[in-house]
Amino acid sequence: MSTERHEPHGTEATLADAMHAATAGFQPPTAELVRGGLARGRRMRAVRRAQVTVAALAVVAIGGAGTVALSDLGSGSAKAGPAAPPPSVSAPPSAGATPQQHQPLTAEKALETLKTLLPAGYDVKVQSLSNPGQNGSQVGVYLLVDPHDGKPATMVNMLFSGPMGSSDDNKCWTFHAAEGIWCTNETTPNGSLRLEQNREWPASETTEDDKRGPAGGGAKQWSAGIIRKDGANIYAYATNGAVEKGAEVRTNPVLTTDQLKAIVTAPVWDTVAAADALPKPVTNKSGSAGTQTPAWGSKSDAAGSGAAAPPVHGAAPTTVKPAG
Amino acid sequence: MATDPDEFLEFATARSAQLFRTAWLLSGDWHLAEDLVQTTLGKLYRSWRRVKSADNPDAYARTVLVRSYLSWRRRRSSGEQAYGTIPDSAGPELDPALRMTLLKGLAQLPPKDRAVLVLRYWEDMSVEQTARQMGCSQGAVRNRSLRALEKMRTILGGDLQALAAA
Repeated sequence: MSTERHEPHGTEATLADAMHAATAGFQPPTAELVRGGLARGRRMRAVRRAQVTVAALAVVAIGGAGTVALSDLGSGSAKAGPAAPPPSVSAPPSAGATPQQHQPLTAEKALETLKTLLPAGYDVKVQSLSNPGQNGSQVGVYLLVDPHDGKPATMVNMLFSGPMGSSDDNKCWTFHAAEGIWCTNETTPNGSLRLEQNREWPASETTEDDKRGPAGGGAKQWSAGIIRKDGANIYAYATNGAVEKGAEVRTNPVLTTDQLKAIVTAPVWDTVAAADALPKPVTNKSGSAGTQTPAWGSKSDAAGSGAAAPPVHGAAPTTVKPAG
Repeated sequence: MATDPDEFLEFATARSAQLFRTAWLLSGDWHLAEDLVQTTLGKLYRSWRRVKSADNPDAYARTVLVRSYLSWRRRRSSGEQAYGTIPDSAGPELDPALRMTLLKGLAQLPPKDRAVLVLRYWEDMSVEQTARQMGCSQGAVRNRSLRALEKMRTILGGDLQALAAA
């Protein structure tokens, strides 16, 4: 059968030699490739952030929201106890008051606070923490959370950034997605909220441009994102995978969208993650935090827009090792 | 500890030349190859946490490159071919006519067949490795390889020997 036949070695070797000869004299434009690649990567990250966060409104208006107890929400876990009282919440300022100055939020502080908001009995293993300069202009907390239900621990991540984008960024998509995939917008007393059940490769209306179509792909990714009225962007998501873009290792993520909502709207963040405590997003020359990734086939952008604006928040990049 | 951009820059600087040569053989055009490599590096940066922890980041990068190329080809009209010249700044030249001969031969192959030849005979990958990179079976790689070599022999004839000897 022809498929079992071996190609004469001579032709293979000749073609290999021809390819090497044809590329031998090249001086690839390495610096240009690297600059352009980095610029595109930064834009791709900005687009991804813009897809999961919402725009800032202007005025500080905290208040009215009571303490949210995760145990009151839908997990039904017998282990879940009342949420710990928020640490050091000061009296909420009245609308129009001069915003107080807050300490810049660090990933360590975000972790410490997040732990108080998780259901009682859930174990946390830190995968990584990132402060501005390490991962763009966000504070990031990346965890494996084990609810001790006999199934593997899975990812719970939380991201914080200052005012960015426009209010349209947080609007849910409107196409008809597969069962179990949905998105809803809510208005809360202190901001606008987006709750979503999706997949790691999100559902899309079509499969053009390598998108996954209405059913999405990969692990389940459930999320809650809020843009508070003070401009803070807080986003929390949980997957049913143990590693990024890995296999599903349990039926559902360890936190429901209601629990994630309770986390991102917890009053403690109003001070711990006040807008002036959060990093400002990296912007490109046009001042937008999120621009479209150029289509393959466009001109080189090595000289490119959006390349290297440094993070604004914080001083020099810092390094944080996992706490184990 | 190096930051994400530092680690990425180190990787991209070390690997971009090889990625570019592969992209050039796949696309047949200097500017398209630039674009393809920049897109590939952008995708790697976007997922850098995952890339750097991969068993073989080089293979990961090559997979992204090949799949980006195939995805791009799917979106372009089947008749479109872009085989441009090479800038003077690209370095000492092989006989331009011979180089164009090779590119035109590759251009007459379906994109997946061309990718198989480039991975196997430029990247020197085994059938198994090529199948893994392209996300297809080893049998498909063998079939494509045989078919593409046959066609290259027909198209190039004696020019192939001249190229190899250049």
